Amino acid sequence: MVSRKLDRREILKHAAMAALIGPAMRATMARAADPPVRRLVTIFQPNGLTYIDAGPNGGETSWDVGDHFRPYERHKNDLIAFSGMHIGGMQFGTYRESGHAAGARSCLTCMPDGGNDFATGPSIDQFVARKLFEQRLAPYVKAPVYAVGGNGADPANHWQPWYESSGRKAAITLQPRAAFDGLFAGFTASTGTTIDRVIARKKSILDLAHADCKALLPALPPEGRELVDYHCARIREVEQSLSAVTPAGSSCEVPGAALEAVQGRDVYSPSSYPALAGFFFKLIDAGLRCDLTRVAGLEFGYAATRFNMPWVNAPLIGEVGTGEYNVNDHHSYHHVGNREILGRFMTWYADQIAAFVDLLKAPGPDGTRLLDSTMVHVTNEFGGTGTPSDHYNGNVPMFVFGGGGGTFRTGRHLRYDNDGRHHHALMVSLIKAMGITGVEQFGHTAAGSGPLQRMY
Amino acid sequence: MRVLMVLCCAGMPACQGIIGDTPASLAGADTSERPFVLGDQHTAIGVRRLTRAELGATIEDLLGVAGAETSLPPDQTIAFLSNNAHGLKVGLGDVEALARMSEAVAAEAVTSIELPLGCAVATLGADCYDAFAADFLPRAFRRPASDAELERYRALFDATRELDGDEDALAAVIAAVLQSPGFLYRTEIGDGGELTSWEIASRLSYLVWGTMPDNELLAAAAADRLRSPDSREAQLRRLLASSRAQANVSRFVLEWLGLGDARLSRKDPSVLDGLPADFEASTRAETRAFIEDTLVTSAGTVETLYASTHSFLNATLAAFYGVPGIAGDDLRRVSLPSRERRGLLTQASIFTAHAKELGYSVVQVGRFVRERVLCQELPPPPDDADTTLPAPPAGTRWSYREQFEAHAKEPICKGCHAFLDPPGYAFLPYDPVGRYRERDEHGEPFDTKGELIELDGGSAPFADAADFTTLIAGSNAAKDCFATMFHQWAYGRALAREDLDAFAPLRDDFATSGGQFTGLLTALVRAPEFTKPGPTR
Repeated sequence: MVSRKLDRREILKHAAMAALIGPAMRATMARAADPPVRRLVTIFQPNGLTYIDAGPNGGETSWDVGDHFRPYERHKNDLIAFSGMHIGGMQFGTYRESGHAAGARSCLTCMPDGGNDFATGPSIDQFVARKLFEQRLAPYVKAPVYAVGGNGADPANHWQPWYESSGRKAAITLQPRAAFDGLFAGFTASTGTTIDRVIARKKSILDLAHADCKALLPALPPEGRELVDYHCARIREVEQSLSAVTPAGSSCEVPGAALEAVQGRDVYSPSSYPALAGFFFKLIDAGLRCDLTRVAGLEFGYAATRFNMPWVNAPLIGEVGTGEYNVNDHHSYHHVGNREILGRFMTWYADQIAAFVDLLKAPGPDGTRLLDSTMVHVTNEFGGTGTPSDHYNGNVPMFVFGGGGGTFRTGRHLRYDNDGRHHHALMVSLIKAMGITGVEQFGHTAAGSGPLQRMY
Repeated sequence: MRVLMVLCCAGMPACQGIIGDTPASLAGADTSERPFVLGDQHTAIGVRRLTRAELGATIEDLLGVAGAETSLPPDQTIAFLSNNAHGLKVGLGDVEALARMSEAVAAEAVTSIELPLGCAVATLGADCYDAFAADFLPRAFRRPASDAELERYRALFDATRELDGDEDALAAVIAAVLQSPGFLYRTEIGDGGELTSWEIASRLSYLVWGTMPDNELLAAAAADRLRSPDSREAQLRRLLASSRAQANVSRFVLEWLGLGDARLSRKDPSVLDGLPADFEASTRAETRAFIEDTLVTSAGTVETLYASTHSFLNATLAAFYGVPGIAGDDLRRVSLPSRERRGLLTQASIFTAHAKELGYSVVQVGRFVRERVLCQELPPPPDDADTTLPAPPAGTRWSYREQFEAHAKEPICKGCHAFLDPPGYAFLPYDPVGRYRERDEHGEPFDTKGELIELDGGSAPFADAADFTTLIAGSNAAKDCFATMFHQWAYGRALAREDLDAFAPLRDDFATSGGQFTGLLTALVRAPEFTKPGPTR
């Protein structure tokens, strides 16, 4: 048999077609969801704050976003800034170092490690996506996570904040094509036959895979049964999600042109990072507008990424006695300490995130802003104490953009006192604002329950 | 692996909390307490999901479609390896990606598939379908298909055919098979404590070739001819003669040593200056060719892997390494006259993967050697890390090494840095892409000498990288590490105490042989454990 490569040009052709057939397909679809639609985006940026006063500071209503987050200034009225937050969950672990690993594992899960470098519970986005589906608030389970940059390595094999379940990292997509397909490939499948037929066939196939999956279980030892049963449950979720793919917001547009603009770029090269950040944020915006997902995540690098940014022109570190030498990346500067230059790195992430919030604020044809139904949670893996190179998981600058449909009072700065329980409570607030009921606790159970009252 | 990334966080000062000369986790270390004996990941769980690479190879063998795996998310590694069954839990993103991949592969496959009995895809019909399924399902599942399975797939075929015709129906069946756990997992369940002959065939084939059993192996399984050590060894010899065996061994080494996802494009443009366009591809090819030739083709040893005075170079690499008289793009075996290049650890691909983008990488290289090459565990940094380093006396200029050493003299830093830094010193002259430099940026020669502590229970001095790699090559620790990692790779799990006991003689023999790889592989395949499911919780 002759070996044949999958034809990428063919697939690209489909992408172009998607842009054409998307609107027609959507016109045939029913609107979903009676309760108000809520959306959640989680964003992670690597390393820490170091200079505490370069982050959010001041009082509750008279406050400053901080030098290192200056691009957020224009969104001040649409966000809540937090200072004095400590990463939750990690204090209950067995592997209790402070720093990159602990912060990454716990900053979105509020769960500690399991003694083996994996978090022991799902990150908030994955948790929310599943709850939305279970409580019939969303017609599918969907929570894609994308990554920009990774120092030439795959973030999946490093400390990352997103977990689908205990011990199982969420899949993170680096490649624009795969990310695009993950949301929009369904649009392309309808050529030549009706969408109902295509969905019915996909469902039959998944149904068969599910039957095979269940048939395998009885013979397995308990650990294997648990692992395969988890797979069976995911097959069912995807199958049920498929049957309900009935999207369409009035401002839905397939971002085919955005994909073409970054196709073929080396995703491992720092010179690609700005373009890739732009693409992934555009993709998330489009996915939310087309209601192909209610939840998404974006990771800059991974925890402890050195994250080279040649465009910020950071000089080589040459000072003897600093511990770093002849380097100029974000991580190294974090160790060495230089407020102005660290600000260049931090501000770059903030610039990308602020531009994403601009997208969410752009009014659709009906005059509504996506941001009014969307919350964007931004975190680092640690904050700092003011001493360069420390790895303190407190004083973490966190931001929530969007008021969750009027749930939260935005335009404020909330200062806390580095008690990790506040982080758990913040997560509970976000979960509740998504319309999810019956959840009073997130992450490790020892951290207490209830939302973060001052957000309301 | 518990401390997978601890040290990179520090760029240098990671183990400050270890007071004294020896990190606490190493003092009096008992070999049975190796980090690889991990509580949660050493059990045999009865299923091993095919890794991304195994899926790609298997789909190519089954359907002739190559490259299918490129659209799948990466596998979740445990202790550096992608094939620990505990890490291969199929999540939401995997199910979605597998669905997309399977449909794309099926659409491609039906255009070229060879059917039995002169059947044609467009006019398949029920009889032709049955003939196809009777052949395809058992090959895809690597065991006979049950009646219930055949019925389920026939029902999908019939239902799809009625609505959409023969070709779509065949594509639906192929797409369903590729998403079925029967295809995605190989079972190691057994019957009465012994694996089935089909399970043994898959264990052997995926171990040696990284893909599904071929017809001859399936025939041996059907006849239950894989139970005797001799019969397995005979099959092993047959499989080893194929280039597939070489490729699969290099896959193991590249994963273990962290060379698999290394990209040159992350480096600072200044260190990429002057490198030809084929440099990265050439360095990857060099390392693969060297591993494959050393371990399989030449039936060589771990000693050769680390201390070899030859490699495989083309014109690009020869120019880079300063070896005259080599032209053309093809790799060829070349002697390396200089002390600068000795064995795997001095190859450029090592630096692409483990050196920083710019500057010096003492801790990164030290950590690579300790964790990966020697399988030693590094303790995590303490909660209250103070990494402020001493400054030189006024009017004095320190070299990079002097700076490190001033820091390492402090009692709180001493233990870890004495452990970690010397391997890094040996490689100080190699830049972030592996270029050898005679002098540092101040025009001074590099001080590459040091003392390698915690090696086979003692320590040894070295003068430079060539000396250092000779020490590594001669050590039991390096051979034991190789054997331990390969053992985990073979069984797709961390090792349990009973594994260490059962395989102790085998590892001893391996060390005595200088680390002869095919001998280790043969002993593993002949061992009675090879036909057993393994320890459960």
